[in-house]
Amino acid sequence: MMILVFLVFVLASFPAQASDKNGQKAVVFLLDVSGSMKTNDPNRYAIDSIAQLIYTLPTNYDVGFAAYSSELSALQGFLGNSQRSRIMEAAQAVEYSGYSNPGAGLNEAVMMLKNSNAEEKDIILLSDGEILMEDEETTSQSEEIYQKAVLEAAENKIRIHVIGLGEEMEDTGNSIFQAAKKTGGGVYYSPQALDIQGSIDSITEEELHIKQTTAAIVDVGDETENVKIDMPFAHAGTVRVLLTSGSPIGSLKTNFTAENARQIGGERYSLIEVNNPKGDQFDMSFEGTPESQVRITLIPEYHVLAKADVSYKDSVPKEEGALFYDREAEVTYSFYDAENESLRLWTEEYFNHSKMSVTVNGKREEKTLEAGGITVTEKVTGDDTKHVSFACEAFPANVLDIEGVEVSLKGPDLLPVEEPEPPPYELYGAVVLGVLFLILIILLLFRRKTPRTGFAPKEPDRPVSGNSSYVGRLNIYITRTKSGYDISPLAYDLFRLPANRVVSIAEILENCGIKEHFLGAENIYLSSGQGRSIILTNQSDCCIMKSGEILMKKKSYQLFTESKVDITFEDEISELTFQYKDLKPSEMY
Amino acid sequence: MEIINQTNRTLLLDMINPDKMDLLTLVGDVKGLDSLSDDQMREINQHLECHSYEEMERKFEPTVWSFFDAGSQSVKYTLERPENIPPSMLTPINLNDYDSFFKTILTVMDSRKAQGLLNVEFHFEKLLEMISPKKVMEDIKLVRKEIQFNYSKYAALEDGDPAKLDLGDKLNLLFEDASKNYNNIMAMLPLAIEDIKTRLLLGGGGEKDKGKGVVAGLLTMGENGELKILEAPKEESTSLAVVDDEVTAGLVEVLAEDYQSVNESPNNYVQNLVVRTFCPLTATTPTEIDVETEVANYNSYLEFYRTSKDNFIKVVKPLVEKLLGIRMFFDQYKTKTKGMAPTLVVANISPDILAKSPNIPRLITFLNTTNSKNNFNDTIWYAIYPNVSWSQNVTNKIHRERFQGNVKKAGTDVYSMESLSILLNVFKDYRVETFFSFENREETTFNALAAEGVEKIMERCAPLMGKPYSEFAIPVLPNFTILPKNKSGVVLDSRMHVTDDNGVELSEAKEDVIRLWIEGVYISGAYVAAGFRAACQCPEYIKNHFITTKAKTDLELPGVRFDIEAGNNSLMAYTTMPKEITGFTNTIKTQINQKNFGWVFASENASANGMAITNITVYKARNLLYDSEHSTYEPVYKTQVTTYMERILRYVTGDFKEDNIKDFFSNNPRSQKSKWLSKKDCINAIIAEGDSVEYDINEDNGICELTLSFNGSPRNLEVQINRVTGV
Repeated sequence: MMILVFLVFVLASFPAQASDKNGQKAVVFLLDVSGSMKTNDPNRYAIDSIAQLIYTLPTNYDVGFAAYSSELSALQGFLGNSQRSRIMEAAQAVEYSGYSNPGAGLNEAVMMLKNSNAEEKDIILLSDGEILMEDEETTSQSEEIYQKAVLEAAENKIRIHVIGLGEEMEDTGNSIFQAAKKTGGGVYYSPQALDIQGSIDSITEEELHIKQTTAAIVDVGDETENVKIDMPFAHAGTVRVLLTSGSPIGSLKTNFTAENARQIGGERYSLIEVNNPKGDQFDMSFEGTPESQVRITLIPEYHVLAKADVSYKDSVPKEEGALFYDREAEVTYSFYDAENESLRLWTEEYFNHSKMSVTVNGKREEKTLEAGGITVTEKVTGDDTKHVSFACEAFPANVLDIEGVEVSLKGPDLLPVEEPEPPPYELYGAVVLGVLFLILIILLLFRRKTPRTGFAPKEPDRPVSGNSSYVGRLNIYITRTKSGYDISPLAYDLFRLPANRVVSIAEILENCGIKEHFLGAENIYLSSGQGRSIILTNQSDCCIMKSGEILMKKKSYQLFTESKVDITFEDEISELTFQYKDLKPSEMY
Repeated sequence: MEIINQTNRTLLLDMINPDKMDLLTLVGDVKGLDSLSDDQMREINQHLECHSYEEMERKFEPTVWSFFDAGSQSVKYTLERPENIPPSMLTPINLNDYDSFFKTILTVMDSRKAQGLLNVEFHFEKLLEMISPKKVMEDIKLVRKEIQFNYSKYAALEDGDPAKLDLGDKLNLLFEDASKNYNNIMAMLPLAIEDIKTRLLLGGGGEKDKGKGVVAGLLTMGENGELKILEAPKEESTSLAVVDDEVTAGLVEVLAEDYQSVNESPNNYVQNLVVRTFCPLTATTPTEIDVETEVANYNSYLEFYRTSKDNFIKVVKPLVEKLLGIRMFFDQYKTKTKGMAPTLVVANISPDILAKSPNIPRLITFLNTTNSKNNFNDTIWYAIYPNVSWSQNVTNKIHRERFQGNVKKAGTDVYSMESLSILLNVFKDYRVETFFSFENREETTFNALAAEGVEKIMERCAPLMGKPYSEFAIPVLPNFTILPKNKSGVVLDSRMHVTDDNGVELSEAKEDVIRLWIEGVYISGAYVAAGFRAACQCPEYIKNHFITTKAKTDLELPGVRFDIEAGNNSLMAYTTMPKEITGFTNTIKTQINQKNFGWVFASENASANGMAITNITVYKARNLLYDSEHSTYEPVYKTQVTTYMERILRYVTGDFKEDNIKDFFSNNPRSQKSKWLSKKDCINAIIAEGDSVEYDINEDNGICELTLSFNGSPRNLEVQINRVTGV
């Protein structure tokens, strides 16, 4: 069976968000700051939990904040990623006092979200008790507003997640928790203020589906803690490193490589937002309160562009009478940073076997990532174009947007038609061959007798190889390029080549990883020469100079050690200089 | 030294003045050329080669350009001539010994050297006052005294008297100096500031009278015997000033006329200022002083002076540091009898530009000409690569910023490690040893080294280790502190304000003290290390420094084998830099000795022959070639001895002819090896006691392998034998 394997590189990517979806999400944190909170949360852990939540949320979240006691006591409209610290300023300013009027708070939160054009809208309500105003009338009024706001939230697909704090909220069937049940939100109970951290964790993971990795939990001792964290998220657009603790954290120092970074610090939390991190390690040191724990969480974010490579395997079909090859296409999807398309993502071991959904022409399948790519095999019967999009719900990182890809598949080629066998004209053939042979001999004899004319004999393109060993190295300096880019000096070890190898300048440059095309470089050859020299043969129209002399076309020149050769390529722009360096035996390693 | 007459020519990879010729321009197009012509080399040497600091100053004329920016109402300074500003609007400021800032820094250096005090003990503040307007005025007072003295003599002599002509010459020179001041407003500012102060506060000295108008009087006794000071009778005069004699009148006239002719747009205020400054007058009719305007002027002049001086210092500091570096390079060669004086070839181009691919063929062609010939006059042995970038990572320190801290900005005048590695790769082929040091900042000073050791610097040098060129890379640490950052404040003066009774006084409020910060001045260690090593190449220098010992010096041999680390050598030959700190702790010294890394200077208490050494000494002299067998970095002298031997061998054996090589190493008393062995006991011997040189010719591949053993530690050198055809 004949098998052909060839590769076709494609392929344009298209934005996955072809619809008018903007990928934006919005969350409002609604906090009960009634006087009872003084008892239930004397250390104001609730405020820290706001920090924990808002700094965990990826950049595509708008965050708002409202607090209520007898009436609405604080309000901060939606803010983007860079301004989240203003939410904390608002939250830190609130004081626990007065009655509890969640109706006023929830109504305001729902109004905020109604006016937002985010795709997903959520409210997180933290309360330590039921509705309680100074008299029954106002209590029932507040309750009415509360229920109305819940209904409005349900109509507008706003989910309300409720965290109940303290003994009074032990009954998860009470009216405050009803808001969660009616809007499809989550119900969480924290008996003590320190437990709020756990509830926030559950909400971010289970309700908001934020991917975060706990990198370390450090038991703090008396001395400064030094922690080294492995960072599998090199090339992520942003990685947030969040430190949370029940006790104060101080003197935080970090050392890492990244394009830029910022830090936000509170008493019991710290956030380091790292943009475009490089390297795979993150060193930090901090001082905590002895016998407390500090949790370090990594929240990575990616903006991704998918690309596809297609390779085909053709085989001759078994059935007779088939007109086409059997063709199997192997499509490999790989993923790149949307901003820097040369940066391949997810090749780290950490991402191996991660799940991702691939939708091809509307058909969705779960696939596993291997070595940074997903490979799909399918039979191809004719030319076809497929729209492929990806979804990363189960993926262990936050993928904020991922551009899909359009894959063009080429149908199989026709099977070759078998030629009929030629008639057996052996005798006739032998006569023809004999005549041709005679003509050739006559021509050769005639040529020997005829004096040389001005026409040069046509030389083979590639010169004859030498017999000596290569012993040197070329130091190459590309002094001018058509693209205008600067290319660092290069070195090419000739001594690694076998003695009979003839190598062109184009091949050398390609081996050095140079993508730029130098016109005529493919016709300038080097071969090994005697006496530790090399032979340069010029078959190009490039202008080649050495020691003040122009090297003629179709001539060979011997270059000895330290020779410097300057080449101006056929485009008359690109220029290169190389120096042939002789190496001593000890230098050939 | 009949074959190799110098082993210390040094190439400086830095830019001094972009307006002057640079190495790349002078080398020119090298397409198809292997080397430069003798004429070209002569031209390069004419422009770039310097034998002394003064020659460098003359050839490169380090200049700062200043111009006035109407947009921001300020003076701008730049090291590169701004092309979009018409030449008439530009003022070049030559950075020479006359510049007040440069002069101040030099004075600081000289005083520290003279006093031998540590940084912590030295009173920098006193000397830094030299930048203040008061000091400028004091200098002028000296000039004006001389002018007055000479002019009075000049006026007294008859016309045609030869002595008068001599005095005329002298006065011409003095007026030339003085006119430098009144020719530009910036130079006039300190004069104006001091002038207003003198007029309003009577010079600020003596009793404070809150600036009320002063009227001269006579002390008398009243009718009842009480003491009285009566206002002196005023002479009736219509002239503005009464001059005590004709001499002063003549001088006033000459100064006014000179100002008018020298200045293109003269004005009366400045003219009066010039006259008042250089020829103080006694006012007869007390001219009414508009106190408020004068005080406002004084304050704005002072602020403007501070801002412009501050801008100037910020721009000029990197250049001043380079100049000081060059000065110290030459300063290391201090010897009574001059021999092989160090030479500096200033490339006058940024090494980052030199390291670009299009420019490397030019550098190669230059080095091919200097270092690949059997003529060793122009051979480059060392290079200086200062200011390697210190920053590596984004380091994010999280803390509450309770107080305003330093704004850590990336060094603007620093060169990259990548360019250094590219250049080292070229230099290794020409065996040029490169001294490099990290950028000038607190982390690279003696204080930092004494506190943190060498590990941070080793970490930063890691990219250059284990490479074919490592042998030629010499990291120098630390840099020298001329003016510590924390002692670099200069008090210019205080603001003035009008008191309630229309008097004037200098404000004593802290916020009214006008102060500027120089933020530290440093010298790259690479200059000093290269200068010191270059000096040690000279046999006369070595002889002078070892004169008190019994060690012999051979005046025909260079100091290539001179090992500064050996014995007490570092106590006999040391740098000219004064000590900076009390010394390294034993822990740090143990660390340095264990690592044996880099060219390390030491500021230690030491004495030689009963004399205390108040200078910085050399503690380690190693390159980045790691000898894994001995777990140490190689001493620098080994590389230079190898280079020296290879060059001598090539010369003496007629480019490595096999027979000649055998002669070279033969036991014949006239062979080169025997000659060297006969001088074994000299301090600058090429083959010292304990060293040996062996050779082995490999007939198969035509390689002669030399094994040089330095105190038992071998170093191999392979040369390609030149076989005579037909043999």
